Amino acid sequence: MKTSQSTIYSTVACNLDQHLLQATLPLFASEKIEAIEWSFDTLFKVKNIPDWFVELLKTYSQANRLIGHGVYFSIFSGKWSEDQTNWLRHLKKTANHFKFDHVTEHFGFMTGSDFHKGAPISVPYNQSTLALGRDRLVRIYDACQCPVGLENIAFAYTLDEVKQQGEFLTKLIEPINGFIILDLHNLYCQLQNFSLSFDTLIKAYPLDRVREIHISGGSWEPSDVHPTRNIRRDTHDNAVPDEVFELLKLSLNRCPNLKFVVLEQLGTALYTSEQQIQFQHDFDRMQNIIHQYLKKNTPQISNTFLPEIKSSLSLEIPQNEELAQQQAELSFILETAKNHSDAHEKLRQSSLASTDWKIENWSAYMLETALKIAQKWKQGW
Amino acid sequence: MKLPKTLLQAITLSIAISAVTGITTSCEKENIDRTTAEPTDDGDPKPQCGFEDCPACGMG
Repeated sequence: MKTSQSTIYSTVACNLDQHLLQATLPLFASEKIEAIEWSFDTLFKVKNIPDWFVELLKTYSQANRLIGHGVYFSIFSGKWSEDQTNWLRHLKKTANHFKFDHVTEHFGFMTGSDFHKGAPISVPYNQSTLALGRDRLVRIYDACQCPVGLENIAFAYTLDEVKQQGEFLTKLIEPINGFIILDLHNLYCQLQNFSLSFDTLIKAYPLDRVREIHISGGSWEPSDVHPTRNIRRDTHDNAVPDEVFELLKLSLNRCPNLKFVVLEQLGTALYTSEQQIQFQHDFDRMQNIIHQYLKKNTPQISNTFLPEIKSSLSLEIPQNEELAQQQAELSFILETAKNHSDAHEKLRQSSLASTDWKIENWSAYMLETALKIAQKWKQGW
Repeated sequence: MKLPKTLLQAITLSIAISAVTGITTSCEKENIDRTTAEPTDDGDPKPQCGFEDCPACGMG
């Protein structure tokens, strides 16, 4: 196997946001930010990107240190939409303009009826969704012509789903020789929400396929249906918890093809100077962990994550009408149900009952959480 | 990674201008008046939305 010496870049998720830029400016000025991750599909309402932001992207792009992170593609939507066609067209144009070192998207389908509204929710892990996801990933690769990856999702309805996600991700990325983003805060949510140990869960992920790691903060939310339990949510609106930094230390030497470690935080959680200073401290702490690791280890990347065989694309884009109907029904229930009991009853009477969705096994407190997520994001952002 | 001084100056200037006028965000594009948003405890306008305010990771 051919290997090449590499390094691990300390990266920030950097978008056109005043407060995020205020928080990151001292890090840029002190030359600490080694790469940036840009959510290239979030500027859909902006007609003109400022010249300096374009120059920032180009500067990192020319050094092969710009990575793209999509938000809205919704790879598991049963029904293909014109918005997805446009998304791919936009990606192709953007990837021609700025050279991405790789491009990533999120696992799941977006609940919203509008392309830019809703939140990603998981799908059944079966042959049908596998085929759909594989096809969509090939189309993303066809548009960007660089390595393509998928991020593990924080949300799960059941413990079985948590344990099976890694295996399903592995199958999904196989045709494009893709990679995964291991989001450690998403993993932390699953460890907390399903009372799992890190050693157990991490073994379920294809760690040789990890090219990027995310760290971020989140929040705790009480559960009405399970009063003794607080639900951990990946809200990106707080400092990175100590536990997630510990997960980073534990993960570095398990991911031999790792290239980027990204600190993510919402600009809306960086309004005060205290929050901005905390963000800078989090970056320094992340970078220090990486540098300590690199003092003792020289990463030898053995995978280009480029497809070995070019997959052919059918002119007719595969769709799954039954899945689309179920997703529309689920989205409507999640967005409109009064509470967990109401949602549970409506699901029991829906077309999702007694299917691969396995709604009969869903944890009550996670269904309650799904309602909160879907209802939070149904008006978009 | 080292950035050109002119680029850092441009970012600094942009942030300074944004702090006075409000950055061009999706909020403005939808004509949401940030200045009339519900104030936070420290008196600043409460953000309605922003580029980084996204649902993407599945537990947001």
